[in-house]
Amino acid sequence: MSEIVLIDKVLNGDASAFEFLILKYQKNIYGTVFNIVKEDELTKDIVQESFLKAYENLNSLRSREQFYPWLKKIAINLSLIKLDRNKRYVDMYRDDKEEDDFFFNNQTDESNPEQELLTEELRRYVRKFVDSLPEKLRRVIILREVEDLSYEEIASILNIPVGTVRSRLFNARQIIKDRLLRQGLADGLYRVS
Amino acid sequence: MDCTEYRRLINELLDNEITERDEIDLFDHIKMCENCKIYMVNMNKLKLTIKSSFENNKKEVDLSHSIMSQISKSQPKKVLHIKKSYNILYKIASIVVILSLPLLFSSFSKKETKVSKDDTRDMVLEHLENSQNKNVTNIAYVIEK
Ligand SMILES: [Zn+2]
Repeated sequence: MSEIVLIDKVLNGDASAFEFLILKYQKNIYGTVFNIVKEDELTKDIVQESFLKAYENLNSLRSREQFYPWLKKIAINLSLIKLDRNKRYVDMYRDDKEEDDFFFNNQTDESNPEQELLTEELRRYVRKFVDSLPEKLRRVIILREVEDLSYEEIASILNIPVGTVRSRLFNARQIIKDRLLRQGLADGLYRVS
Repeated sequence: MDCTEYRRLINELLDNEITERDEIDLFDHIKMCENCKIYMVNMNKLKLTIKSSFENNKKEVDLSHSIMSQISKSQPKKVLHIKKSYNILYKIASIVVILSLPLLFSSFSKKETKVSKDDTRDMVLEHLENSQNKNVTNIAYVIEK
């Protein structure tokens, strides 16, 4: 059964049709929320609340083909709100701070394609580095790299100018790159050819 | 433009957010600048690594029973219909309000002219006090959020 038909059914009072939508998307929504809030129990609560909210506001969904992106945005918004409430994080990061570009001082000259494979160890470190970014940068990186949102969409969700999205992404990537280099992990990956 | 500026453009390019004009500029520069070319390759790898690092977060969860049990409590049909009838009520109410505005306004302005200066001062003070209180509750709300 197509999603549009399902949504129509729900709108016509057949709540059971909504279960298919839950079964279809709960795993993805769990992943999206977990990447933002990082706690299993809180994630489950937010996933449930997102579906409930989507259900209650289904008649405000403008185009039925857009159910998943719409649901995902509800989930992201709820995650950000809960995160702000739960953790009053102290964020020392300031947008006007410029990062130095020291990356290219650390290049070696040979390339080895085998070393360029993304190892599990590297992934673990990257995740750790992303998670330890200043909160403002972490959110932008997750929304862009993991959730594939556009600059415009991120700006509107976080209520910041598009230019700020741009510079936070730039700075966040510089920081991760730097930490990879310091960890000695960038050698195989970021090599001069 | 120096390399730092081009590196900002490289980020935009890899994010699919670059303008056509900047893209042409950037490729002209990359043809001549080996460092920026490497930066582009590296950034592309970094982006892919970040994405793949977070993709395995999807867990086998099944919350469908719990969500559906809450949904059955909230009775969708009625909610939707009530909303629709509320809409009509709102429309009627707002038309009534709009139509009666000139009447209200004229009666207010008549009353106002009868109020003495002292009364006006009291009203202003009272209003200020009220609006200050409102501000205070607003601030409290924001902090709580
Ligand atoms: Zn350059």
